[in-house]
Formats: sequence, C-alpha cells, structure tokens
Amino acid sequence: MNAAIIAEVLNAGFSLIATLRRQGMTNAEINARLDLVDQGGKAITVDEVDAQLSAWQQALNAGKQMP
Amino acid sequence: MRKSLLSVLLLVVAGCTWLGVEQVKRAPQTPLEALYMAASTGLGLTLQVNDLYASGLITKEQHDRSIAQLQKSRDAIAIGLDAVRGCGIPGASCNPSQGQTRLDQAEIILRDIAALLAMVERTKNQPHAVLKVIVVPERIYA
Repeated sequence: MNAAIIAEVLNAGFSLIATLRRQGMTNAEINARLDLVDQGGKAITVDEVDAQLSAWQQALNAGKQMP
Repeated sequence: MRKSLLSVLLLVVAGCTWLGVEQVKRAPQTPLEALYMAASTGLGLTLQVNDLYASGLITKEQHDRSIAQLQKSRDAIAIGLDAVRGCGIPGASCNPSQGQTRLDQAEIILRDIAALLAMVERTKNQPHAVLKVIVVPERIYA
C-alpha cells in the first residue's frame, strides 16, 4: 500500500480520536464543576463564565490566524 | 480497497473511543450554569474545529465559516452574560429578554457547528450534547 495513503488514513483516524477525546474532556470538566455545585460547593460565578469566554476568544483568535 | 479497509478499521476504533466519551450529566439549573456550559462547549467546539482544519479534515472555507459562526455565538453568550449579570446588581441594567434572545441565537449557531462536526463524522451525538448544555430559555428566566 502506498505510504502516503497509509499516512493520510492514519492521520484522519488519529485526528478523529483526538477530537472525540477533546469533547470528552470538555464534558468531563463541565461534569466536574457541576458535581461540585451539586455537592453543596460554590455555585458557578460570573467570573468563571467570563474566564471561559476569554479562553474561547483566545481559541477563536488562534483560529483566525491559521493560514 | 486497502485504504477502505484501513478506514473502516479506524472508524471502528473511533467508535469504541466515542463510546467511552463522557457525556454531560445534567441540564443547567441556573442562568450562570447555562452560560458556563455554553461557553465551555463553545470553547471545546472551537478547539475541535481548529484541530480538524490543522489535520486537513475540513476545508479552509468550512473552518473560516465555523470560526465566524462561533464568534457570533461567543458574542451572543457574552451579551447574555451581561444581561444576567445586571440582574443580580441593584440599580444595574437587567434585561432577561435580551439574554433569552441571545441564548436562542447562540444555540442555533452552536447546533450548526455541531452539525458540521457531525457531517465530517467526528462527533456523532454532538447536536444532542449541545442541546443538553444550552438550556431552554424559559427555564432560565422562569
């Protein structure tokens, strides 16, 4: 089999798995925070949402700069 | 033929990975929870879109369109946060209806992005997951 084809398919596969894992990590982080709330811990604050929005903007800026 | 077999094999592996992906446990119960979950999901989607583009799995056009939509979504959620933030401060501007409208817009955009991801067969149940974390507006402001 052509090495380029193997590399292409493997790249696609690993990217797929990485994407799924990232989604799982996002959900895990949300669940961890909600668990804390449910256990009587500190409720989610405006500052936390602000921090997420800031991180999101940084990711968007990084995306806009991609060639 | 061999490429197809290899692709199928990788899809099987990815499917197994997907089965192990943690899902969001419950819907948000407060406006701030909804905004937090929406922002977290949007951040995750943005990172995924960037990764997919870097890997060559989506085109530049798809990536740029997704980023533009995600920016709109992020801005909408930021305005929603402002609307909610004011509600807890005496004398500050409080506009739940604006927050509701913005969350509606953000939900539509995030679903579009999730549909894009689903289209490239990367996150099959993403629309459902997004729906779970973007609370129904009436629940927020009831």
